[in-house]
Amino acid sequence: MNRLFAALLAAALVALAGFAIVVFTASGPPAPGPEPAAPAAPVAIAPGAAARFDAWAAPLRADGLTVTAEGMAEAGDTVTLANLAIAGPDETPGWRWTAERAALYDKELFHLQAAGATAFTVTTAAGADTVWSGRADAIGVAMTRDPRDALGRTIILRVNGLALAPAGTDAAPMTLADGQLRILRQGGTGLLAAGTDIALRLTDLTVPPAAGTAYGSRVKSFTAQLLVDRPVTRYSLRDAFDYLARRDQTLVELGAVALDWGTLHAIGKGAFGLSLAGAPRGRFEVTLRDPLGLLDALAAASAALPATLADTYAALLLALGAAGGDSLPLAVAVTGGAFVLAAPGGDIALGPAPSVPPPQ
Amino acid sequence: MRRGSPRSVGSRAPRRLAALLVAALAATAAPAEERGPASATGSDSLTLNGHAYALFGIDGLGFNQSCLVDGQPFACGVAATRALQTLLAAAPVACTPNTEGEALCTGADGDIALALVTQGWAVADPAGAEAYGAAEAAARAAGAGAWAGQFLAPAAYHELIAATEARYAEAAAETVRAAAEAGLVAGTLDLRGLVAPVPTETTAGDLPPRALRLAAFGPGRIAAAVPAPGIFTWPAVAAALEAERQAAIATLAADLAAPVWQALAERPARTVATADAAAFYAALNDSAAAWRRAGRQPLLYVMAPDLPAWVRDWFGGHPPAGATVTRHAGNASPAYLGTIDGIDVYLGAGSARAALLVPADLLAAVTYRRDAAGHVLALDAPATPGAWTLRYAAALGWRDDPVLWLAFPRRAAPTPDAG
Repeated sequence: MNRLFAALLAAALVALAGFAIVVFTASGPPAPGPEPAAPAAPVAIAPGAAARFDAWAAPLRADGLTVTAEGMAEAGDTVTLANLAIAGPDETPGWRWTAERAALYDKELFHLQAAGATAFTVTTAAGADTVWSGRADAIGVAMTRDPRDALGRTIILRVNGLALAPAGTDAAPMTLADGQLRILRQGGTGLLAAGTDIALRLTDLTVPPAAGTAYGSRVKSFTAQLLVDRPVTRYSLRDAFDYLARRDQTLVELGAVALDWGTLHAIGKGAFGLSLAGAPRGRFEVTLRDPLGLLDALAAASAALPATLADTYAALLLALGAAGGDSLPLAVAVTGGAFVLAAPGGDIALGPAPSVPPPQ
Repeated sequence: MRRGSPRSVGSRAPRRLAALLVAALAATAAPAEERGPASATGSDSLTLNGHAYALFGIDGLGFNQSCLVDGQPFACGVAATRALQTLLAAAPVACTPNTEGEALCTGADGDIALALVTQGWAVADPAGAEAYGAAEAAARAAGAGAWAGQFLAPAAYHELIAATEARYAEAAAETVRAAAEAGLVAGTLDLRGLVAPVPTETTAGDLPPRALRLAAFGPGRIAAAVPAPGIFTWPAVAAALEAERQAAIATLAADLAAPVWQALAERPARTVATADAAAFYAALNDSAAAWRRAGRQPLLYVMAPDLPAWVRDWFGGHPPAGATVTRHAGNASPAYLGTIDGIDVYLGAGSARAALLVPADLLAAVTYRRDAAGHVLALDAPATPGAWTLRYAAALGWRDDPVLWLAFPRRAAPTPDAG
């Protein structure tokens, strides 16, 4: 078929895969050791600013995160914080989030709320930091624990009015009107099986123009659900890679993925994974709305039209006509380093699927 | 930024040809320069005093072409056409045509083609004036018109649409061929009650060659799929093309059954003359009795529901005295009228003044030849776009029963005999 069409699917699939790699991680059985004193849900904040902060941070620290803050002060039910920092495990690749100002609220669903200057850092090697910095109107973190399940936990991260740009550059910021990440972890002691249900919802995300050549700079919405078959107990990029690059080469289920980006309107589900060398592989059932309109956009933005573009239009016209309506279900496989579309005329190599470098 | 390659000479060939024809037809009457009110027929074409011209030196966006601004499509072809119409509506225009159906036209503000390029709704033809190239560069730099976003070069767009139509035609014709062949081989053609024997196949044999004509999927289908003044959407185009494809499949399936009806009409026959409805009904039952006794299903073919007129009355609630008229819901043939005293009645195969009575198992054998490519139906490349030929070879085998023609009097307003 053509490489143009690859871009649309690659955008959806690789974004989701990358999202899974960067944001989520899972480990094997939970590390042995004492759990922090299990407070009743929601997490209770102890008297005294530092004590209250430590009580709030304890569950995160138990999961291997480093949580620090300065300038703690109590103001009624609130503990104000300065230079809050939450970092993943001390390893590479590593990550760290900082907020200049934050506060703990005793009686709010989002116990931690931050606003103003914020930054996110990814460390790919010793001394090699990539820093995204900017501001947020509001960032909230909610945590609840299941008292019947030592590992059972719900974490909700909500972000409003976020603008981040690579530090030290004059690049246009990436902005996010509204985003929510929900992690539901089950230890398997209740009726539910052990596992972690991770859901992401992004609304009105603007990306740098260079990344949105065909689709534009505004991602209207993106939602995804990742089903991890074990409790996530460490928020480690290294573990995330290992989880996706399993030795038994089984795939991770991705459910209810939806992307609305320019002329790309896709919903789907599938399974995804990495080879031990980081090559992507997987299979997806993707339903595209107005796939020919999307092809128009890709063609308009293309520097050179593939010789087989007309074949693609014709095949999709036939398939869309037979399917009726304005949407077309398509099967996509990621294998051999390429996206392959099962099209009406046979399998079509869509284009390369980028690899993920294994942690060093 | 604009993408694609500079337009090829052939990209405007169809429009130039059309304009050329119009110009040729009007050559004796068309003056060197024409003046008057003009109307846009596209983003770079117009009509003036009944003559169609393409604006010389530029290439306009396709009417259905969409452009992309920050990931969002907009109908830039429509906008370009409106821009031309606005220029033409300002004042009468003067056009100087060349021999290729193109014209240099001026309006209230001067060169209309130059204005379109300046506004960013057309690109310069390399064969045109240098001023057009300079205007295009300025429009591009200013982000005027379509240059506010991204778009295919008009020539590339026209070539892509034409190529897509050609590819679609090939693919769709093949699907039609395959669907018709599947029906043929599976014996599922609508034979109007005739029991279709399990077809046999041969790779050799001297079977009579046959050919079918199929008119479908010609050029211009994508543009034609948008009902004027409809809004171009690909799902609408796909739906229209699919409707054409389904109609082609149905037409081909009907055409494939045509030899059966032709052969039936040529079978050995007896003729029974009837004078009226009562005589016709009596003859019908008498003639079918032997087949019914033998457990064979009789079929009656009439040419139209009102020939003979009493057949329409029978199925309209006025059956003959003592007759049982029913309609089996499971019969999916559109030619099925109903059943009278157990005799299934269908449209077709009869004549204007005689109905045809046959046993349903009269067709005993069907043999097809499969060619070296494995096809029973072979699709020829169209000699002209949209005109397909399908070739096959088939033989029909019949039982020895003579068919029976039940003749009836000519109506007051006779209908010509159907061949």
